[in-house]
Amino acid sequence: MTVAPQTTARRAPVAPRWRYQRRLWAPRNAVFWLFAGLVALAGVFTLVDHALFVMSAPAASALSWALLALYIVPVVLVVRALDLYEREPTSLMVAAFVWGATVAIAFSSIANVAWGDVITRLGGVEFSAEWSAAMTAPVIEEIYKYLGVIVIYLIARTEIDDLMDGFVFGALVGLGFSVVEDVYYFMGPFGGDITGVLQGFWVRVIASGLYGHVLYTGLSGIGLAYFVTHRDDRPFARRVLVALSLLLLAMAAHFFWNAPWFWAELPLLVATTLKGMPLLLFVVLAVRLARRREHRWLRVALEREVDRGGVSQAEVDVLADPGRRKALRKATRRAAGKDAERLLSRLHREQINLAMVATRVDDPVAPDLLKQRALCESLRTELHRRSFPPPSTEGSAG
Amino acid sequence: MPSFLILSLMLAIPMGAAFAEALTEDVPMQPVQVTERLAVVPRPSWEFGGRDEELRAILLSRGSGSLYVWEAPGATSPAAQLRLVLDGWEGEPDVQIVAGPPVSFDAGPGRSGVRATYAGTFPDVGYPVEGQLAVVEASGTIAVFDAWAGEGEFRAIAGDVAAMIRDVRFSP
Repeated sequence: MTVAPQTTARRAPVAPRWRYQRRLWAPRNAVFWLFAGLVALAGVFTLVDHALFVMSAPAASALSWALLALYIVPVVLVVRALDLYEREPTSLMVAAFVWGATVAIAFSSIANVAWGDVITRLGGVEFSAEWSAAMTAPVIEEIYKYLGVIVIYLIARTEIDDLMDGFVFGALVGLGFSVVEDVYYFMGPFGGDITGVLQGFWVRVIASGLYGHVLYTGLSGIGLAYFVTHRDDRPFARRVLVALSLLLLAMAAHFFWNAPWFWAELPLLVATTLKGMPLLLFVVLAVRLARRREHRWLRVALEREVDRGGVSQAEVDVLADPGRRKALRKATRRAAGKDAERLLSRLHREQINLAMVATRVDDPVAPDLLKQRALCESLRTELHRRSFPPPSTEGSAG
Repeated sequence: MPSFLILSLMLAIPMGAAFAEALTEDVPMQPVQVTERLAVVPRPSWEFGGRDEELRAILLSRGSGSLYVWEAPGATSPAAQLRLVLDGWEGEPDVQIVAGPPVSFDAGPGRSGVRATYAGTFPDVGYPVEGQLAVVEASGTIAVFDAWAGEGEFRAIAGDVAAMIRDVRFSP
């Protein structure tokens, strides 16, 4: 029997083993086929609904999607920006979004209605109108979305290797869910005409878009990532406790949002801020901690490479500090122009890739590693040439 | 194995609801108090749409069907109250309706009822509707039931509306 070594992770962080990227396509994995089957089934369900919207109100339906694109694009960009080091494979990110937009929403809507009927029977229609959404959706929707993150993990286990990965996949599941739910609201309760869609966009996206499903599942995704990435250095009970606590916190925040408190008493923007801001701050804090951990990992991974050609100690110090990285890019732009700034950005990206490659291979002279070092070196030389061009011999003498 | 567990959990949630629904099937629907003297027992699948404290009214809905119920204090008789409401609608410039003749109906022991069907358009409803206005009186309390749905859809809710009118509760 081998005992997992108790690493010294708490004092000196050990970089994760950033592996070669896995894709969604995994025909030998039963979970992949479960994913494919459920997406196909729920996708038909969702598409039929949206086809009905398009047929009954084509302009409002098109406007809904056009407006929601304005929401999807910045959220995806922010999530991608947060996931700086080991960018997740696009196929898995799309899969997470699709799970939220089809499977999670289809199953949730069926289960919400069914449990809502039970609440109506037991509590009466008036109680149900006020509390059903708070009592059903937080549990049901959070479970179905969470299962999406679990499915992504089971399809490509190596892709969730730090807390940020859990946040990224969770946020994308939440985004898919949120967008399709918004369309249902625009086309249903908000009236399904142009005015209704604009009103819905104001209420659900402008006033509330910072909070909601992206945060809930992002948070529970961090919990799942904690559970699966700390197998070797945290007791099972603690991992379960953290994962469960974050899932329950997401449910509690969702409950607080859906509960009838404050909606009627306060102006919309005040109510949404009061209900959503605490969780937003918590998630921002959690993401900052996860990012700080990634910066430490990056430093550990790159320090092995110092003075081997690809990166210097001074460059490691800059790379591990996003503020300094940005300041240096700005200074380079001022001193040597836009092209030099782009080159510096590329050098930084390739040096981060060097860290990824360095954690993948055990041999310090592995071909991939040598190639990456050489690329970084050539970029640095080119940057130096552009930033400090040799003095011109023509027309300068004199 | 993980696939099986995930699928099981996904199915367990709606199946649990179906089981709970079966268990609560015999639990009677709870009445909604319109005023201290008037309560309506909603039919299954009807949702509470809101309450107007000023008008002492509630709104119930199911799909495109709606039922607005209010108590008419000071009304003299069901027929007079029915006429009053219809005249009010017909007097509004934005309302275009055609109403059938008032007809008395059996509203239960000790109660009298009168109703009329109508069809037309209202400014606050974005599509043509057909509906039924019914007024029931018991123990000096007069309740008004205005039920409507989209054109051709009223028949889908007519049975439920009749049952809710029949089951309405008056307190002395």
